[in-house]
Amino acid sequence: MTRSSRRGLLAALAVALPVLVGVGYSVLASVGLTGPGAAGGGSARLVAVLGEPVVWAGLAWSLWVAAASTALAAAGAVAVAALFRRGAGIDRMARLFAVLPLPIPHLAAAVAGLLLLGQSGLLARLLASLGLLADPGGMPALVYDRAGLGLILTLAWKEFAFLALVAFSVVATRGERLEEVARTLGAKPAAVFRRVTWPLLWRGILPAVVAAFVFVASTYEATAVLAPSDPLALPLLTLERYTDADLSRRGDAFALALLGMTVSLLAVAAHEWARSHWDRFEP
Amino acid sequence: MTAPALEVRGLSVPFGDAPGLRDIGFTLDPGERLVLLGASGAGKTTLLRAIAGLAPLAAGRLTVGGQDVTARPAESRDAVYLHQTPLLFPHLSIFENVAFPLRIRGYQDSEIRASVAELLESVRLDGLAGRRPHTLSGGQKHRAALARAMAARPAVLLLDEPLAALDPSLRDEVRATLLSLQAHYRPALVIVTHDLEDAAVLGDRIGILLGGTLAQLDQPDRLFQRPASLAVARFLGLPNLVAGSVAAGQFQSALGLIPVEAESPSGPATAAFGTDALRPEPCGSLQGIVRSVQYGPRGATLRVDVAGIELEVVTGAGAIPHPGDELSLGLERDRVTILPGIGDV
Repeated sequence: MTRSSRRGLLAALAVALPVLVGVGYSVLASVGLTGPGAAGGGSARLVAVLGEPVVWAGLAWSLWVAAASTALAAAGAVAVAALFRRGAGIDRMARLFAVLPLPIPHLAAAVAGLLLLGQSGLLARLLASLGLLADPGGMPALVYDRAGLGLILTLAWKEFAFLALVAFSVVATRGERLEEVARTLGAKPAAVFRRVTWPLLWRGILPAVVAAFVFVASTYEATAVLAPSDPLALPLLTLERYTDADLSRRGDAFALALLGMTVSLLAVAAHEWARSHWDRFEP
Repeated sequence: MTAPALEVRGLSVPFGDAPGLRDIGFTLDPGERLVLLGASGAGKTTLLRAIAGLAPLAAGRLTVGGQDVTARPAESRDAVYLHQTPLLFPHLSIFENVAFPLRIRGYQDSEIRASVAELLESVRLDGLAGRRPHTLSGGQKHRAALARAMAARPAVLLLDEPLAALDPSLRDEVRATLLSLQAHYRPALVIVTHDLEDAAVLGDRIGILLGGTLAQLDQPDRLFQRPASLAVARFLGLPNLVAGSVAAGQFQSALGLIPVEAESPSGPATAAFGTDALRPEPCGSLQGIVRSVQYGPRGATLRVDVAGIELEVVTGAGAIPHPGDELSLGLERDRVTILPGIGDV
């Protein structure tokens, strides 16, 4: 092994160490070998946790919210990147507005979502004042609702900014010149989008989409503010078990954390599979 | 009578806040090759992009194959533009890259396969059809981009410095591929370069863009032997520019008298000539002293002081003189161009 490859390996280990320690601790804690309430090794607790319907309901609900909000954000990012691409004027302003949500903390975005979308929120009052609702209370439930619409919209708005930034970069660095090539080869605008812009865009933003999905699936703050208590989203359930007065339930939290991490790993694996099978997704 | 492949009339193209290109005009026959030369920032690329429909025109008219395309978008001009670096679609295989123009024109799969196979064979990439662009070498990418351009069967192919980023061996390879494809498919070529040698080899005619205008458009031999202006002579790097004046039908300078055409205006003028107009000879009309000798692959380049004027001479035969030697030179006066204005060496 050369000196530079040894250095590379050491650097990779240094970066991975906190994750490996965390995963190792979670595995040990979930089988009762360490942590408060540890009662000796065994998979009984893990099996028991994974057998609880509330866990799977929470996981399914979290995946629904993550998938819906990420899909909305990605669609918006692609649309904005494809539509507003000139260097100046309205396009530039549109790009600026698109990335404005980036520095806003998720918690602040969630509170804003609550104030805006709640049944006594600004939107309800506005619609009522316009005569579109008899009274603000007639507003459909968008927060604490089982479908998680308010949470989905809030998270989509936040992730849209991140994905739009990546999409702008893809279009600016590679897309424009390749589109020119396609045009002079005879491709009309629709064909340019279908055969060049779209394939480049989705390939370019897919890693960011996966990152957004994984983040949203395990995000806590916005979920805590806007999600219903039934089903209880996986991140909320995890924290509930971790902070339970019964210390023996803390191991459950680590088992749930491992479940969440498995979901993340599966998403990354799906991304890697898609990367190696690009051709199947060509229009 | 066949319509010209490309006709450019009174073309003006804005260039940011600068005046840009003004009143550019030329006609190109099918299968003809025009090379555009000019200093960096002269607007060569802008002109190509304007012809391709990728840059807005301020004025002028463009026809391709006799059709007025001035108001048409890039996709409807029948003019393919190739960037300096070969921009292959990274998400497509080499086969699909070359098939791209055919697919968007709705050809059948069997026709596409046959056509792409022929094109890939002609650029010697037939074994690499399934590869991705990033796995190809620089020369292979250029050849693939040329094959893709030819697949569109354009009337005009616009090439922006196609050989600039290549090392010498690849330049020869890509140049040969370009000429071979052009001979087969017969598009008119407009090639931008800053390399005089490429221009001389590739161009049926060469255009010089200076100060936003087409300063001269001529066949290579005429261009190098008869530059139209002092600016063109300077741009072409003619090594010998001798200041003098025209009076009574003669150019007078330290080199002696040189007859000029009767209608030449009197006044300050410059004699411009290449190294091929001067040669050492025992009883030459010019006597000088060798100031420096530089050896090169084609012989020695001498700097010779003739009556206080330093002239450049290339000699490849016989004994090469040394600095300080006296040298007698013969001047082929019919290879000397007298240009209005002063441009001393």
